[in-house]
Amino acid sequence: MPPGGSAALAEGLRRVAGGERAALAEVYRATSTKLFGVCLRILPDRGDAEDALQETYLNVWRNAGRFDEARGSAIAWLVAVARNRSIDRLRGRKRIANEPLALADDVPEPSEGADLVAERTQENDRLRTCLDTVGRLEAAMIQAAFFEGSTYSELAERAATPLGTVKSRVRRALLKLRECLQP
Amino acid sequence: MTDRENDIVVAGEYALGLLEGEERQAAENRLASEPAFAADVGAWTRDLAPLLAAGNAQPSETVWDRIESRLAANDDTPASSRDARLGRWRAAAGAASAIAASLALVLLSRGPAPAPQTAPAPQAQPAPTMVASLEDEERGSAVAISVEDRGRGLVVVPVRLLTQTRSAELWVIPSDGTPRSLGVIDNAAPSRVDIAPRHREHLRAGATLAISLEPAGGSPTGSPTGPIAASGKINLL
Repeated sequence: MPPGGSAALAEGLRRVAGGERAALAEVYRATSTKLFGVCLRILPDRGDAEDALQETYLNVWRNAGRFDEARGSAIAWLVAVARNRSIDRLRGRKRIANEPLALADDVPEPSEGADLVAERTQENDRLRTCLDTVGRLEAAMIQAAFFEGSTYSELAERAATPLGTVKSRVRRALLKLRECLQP
Repeated sequence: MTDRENDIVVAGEYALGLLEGEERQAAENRLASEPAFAADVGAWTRDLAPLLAAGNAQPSETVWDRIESRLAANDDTPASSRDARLGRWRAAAGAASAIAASLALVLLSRGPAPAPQTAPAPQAQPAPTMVASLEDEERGSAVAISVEDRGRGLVVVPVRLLTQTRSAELWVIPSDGTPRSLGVIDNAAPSRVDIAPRHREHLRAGATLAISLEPAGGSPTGSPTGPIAASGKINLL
């Protein structure tokens, strides 16, 4: 993003909230390649990812007024919208993910190399490092929630572990993760 | 776990979408009512976002066309009530069109003899139909407005608009939030309001129309001074 891009994006969202179509077009131009990367990360099929991207910006058009700069950056809010719309679509498509949890040693890299140009940032590296400290099963659960929209009860089923155990393990892991991420 | 730690964890559970049912509802209620909790959720959203920094990818050009074709009102009400309101807008537009048609007949019958027949001008793209239903439930106000001739005029049908001694002044409030006066309207009978060229561009889908109650003759300041009697957004049909 260009210098001042973050403030410009927040201003763009304010104008979208006011019903300005041109502002939505600007926000789209500035962020659609990034958000499409997000959609593709969750929905490897291009057609699905494009549908999710469309839903993302329609959602932004309707709900831009809910963006609050005090609570986070514009791009983080947009990424969260794209993730939510993609997970909605994933769950609508595949029903609910129910395959056993894979215990990856590391956060999985994006599988599609064709479209996605890997982007490693400092924040990304720090998050991966912190996830490594919470335990393999816990990290797998957090990622299943994040990328596949799995809830506690679905995680319990997928991990063949009692719900209470899943909850307390994930809760402890979240606390650990927060402590690690604290600047 | 301390209360503070518990708050942080619940915010994380909510941001990840782990919660269901009552727990999810409780977190949503806190999100709406507790700024500190909302800030915690925002922090998780920000800190987890890098997981998705998988890289950029170019969507096909048709995606924007599809988005643009579906932009209607900037209306964030839930779909169910939106559909109900759409029904009312359509009804309002029907009423307004009927009024417009009868007005046209009246004007034609009163007007000078028609000019010699000329070939009709080639039809340009039909203008999108835009309407607004201005309401105020407490006051029971309801005013149907349709945008005519690409913003050159409005047909205003005050279905119910009570004022005693004050004038009803119509405003358009575009995205910059500044009301522009479109003039004082008749609160008892349908009328056509001509729109000055500088205000025409503001009459588009998503802009708000509002009626305020002003001293006789209209606001002395150029901005609304009295209470809002009814308001609503312009919508594409």
